[in-house]
Amino acid sequence: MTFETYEWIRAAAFTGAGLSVGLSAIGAAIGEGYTAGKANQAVSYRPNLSGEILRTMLVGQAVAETAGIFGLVIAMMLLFSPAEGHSILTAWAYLGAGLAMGLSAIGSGVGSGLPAGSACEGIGRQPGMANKLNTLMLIGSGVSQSPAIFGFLIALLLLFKPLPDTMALIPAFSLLASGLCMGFGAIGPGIGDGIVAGNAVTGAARNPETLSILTRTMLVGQAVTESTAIYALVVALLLSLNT
Amino acid sequence: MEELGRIHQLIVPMFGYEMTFNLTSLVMTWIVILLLLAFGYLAARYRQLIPGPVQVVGEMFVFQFYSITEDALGEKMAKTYAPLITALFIFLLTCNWIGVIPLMEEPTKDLNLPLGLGVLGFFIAHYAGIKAKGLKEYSKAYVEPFVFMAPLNIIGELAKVVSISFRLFGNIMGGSIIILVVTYLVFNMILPPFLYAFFGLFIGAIQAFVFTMLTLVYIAVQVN
Amino acid sequence: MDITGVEFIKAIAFLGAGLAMGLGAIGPGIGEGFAAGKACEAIGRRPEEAGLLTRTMLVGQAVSESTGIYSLVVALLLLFVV
Repeated sequence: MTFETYEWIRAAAFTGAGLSVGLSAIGAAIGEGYTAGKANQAVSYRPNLSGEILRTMLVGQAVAETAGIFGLVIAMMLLFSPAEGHSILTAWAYLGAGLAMGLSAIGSGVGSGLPAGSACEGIGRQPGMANKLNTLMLIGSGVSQSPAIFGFLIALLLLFKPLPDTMALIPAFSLLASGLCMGFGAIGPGIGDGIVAGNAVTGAARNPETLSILTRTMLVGQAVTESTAIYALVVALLLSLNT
Repeated sequence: MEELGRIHQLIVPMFGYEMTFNLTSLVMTWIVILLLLAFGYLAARYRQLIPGPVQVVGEMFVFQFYSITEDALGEKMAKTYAPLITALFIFLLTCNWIGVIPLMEEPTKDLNLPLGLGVLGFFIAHYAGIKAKGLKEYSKAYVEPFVFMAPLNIIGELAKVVSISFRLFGNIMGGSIIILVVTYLVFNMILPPFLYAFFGLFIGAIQAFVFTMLTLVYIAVQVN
Repeated sequence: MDITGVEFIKAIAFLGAGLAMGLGAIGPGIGEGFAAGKACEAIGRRPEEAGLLTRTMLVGQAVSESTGIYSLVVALLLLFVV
């Protein structure tokens, strides 16, 4: 049983689309569920603040959802990507793009949920600080998204890369490895960024006057946490040059 | 989507090599520099006891970053390094925000600008370390905990330059590509203005602050 | 399609480089997050020690990151030397 080149490319594109949206849904769902759980806990302590807590929960979940939406966008682009007349290497690139986006969104999805959960809890403790805690949470979960943004960058690079027409093993494996490297590399930093932001929000809720110094420490801590994701980005970029 | 990889290049042959300049980011950097010179002139030229709006903004930047530098480095060294830190932040903020204006592009989207600033910060941090501790004490940090860890410590130092510059580049580039993709998908209807505001202003400000703080932290780590 | 042994080894080395850096980044990412997270919590409790805590956080993160840097070194070796 033999297949045409474009059939292989279509098959890889569909697999990549499934991986992209399926894996990225894992992270976003865990993050949002964590937020909702913490919000429920906070409402059970302070039922009179339910409106405030509900708003914070929805904003936080929307940020955590962003990682899933990145996965959806890449999946859509893979579904409608051209296959006729492309080289067989495109199949490997599409598979790599799906893996890069899907895996990298896991970490950011889980990570963005953690500060949102802490913010719900914190508003239950300090209702007067709701706006400041929301801002801190948005900054923290926004930075937690950056591993997913790197994954998105690599996925798009792999999608739109002009490829040579001959099949060879080295470029094929480089394209796949580029996606795997960025995808796996973004999981840890995404979760780590979320832990930092979550604890910073908890600390600010406990001791409101430390807000500005905590914002600063949180940003520095997150930036250092992210550096392994950036090494993965650099290695992925170097790998994708090998075609 | 065609504009994704297009770069306006100026290729200058020099000593047998070809030097490639990215014209867009060169021009945009110069525009940013001119804007900042005008801002500095307006903020500092007509100083008054009851400050005007431009002077208030200028004073806010200087005051904030002076106190942050003082927290990290102590009062004596803050006088030396606060101007650098303040200037770095204002420059990066303008660079990241200028892309919000139509037809303008962020010069930080080109890796060369963050990399240049990262290398600058690296040399300043190590100069500050040698100056504060002396060469002997400074080089002792590389053979900790064992002598044979020295190559890894050196690679760790160099990796800081890579991580600081790729962080800025990746975030700004990713933001602008996301806007481009969404614009392409929804045909410029509703979302792009919001995304411009989110990625251009929010991520731009955070990444400018992170870059500045990390440069300061690297100096502080070398000094203490 | 003919594949020579050298080509095969190079291809597998590239795959190994990607996996080395990718998997090697998971642990340091989470670990550094723990370090910075606890530092933030501690600053929330004792803001007057912020300078000391930030310094301890940075040292701890630098040590946690060393495995990430080993992965980077191995990945670069696989990319450029093999």
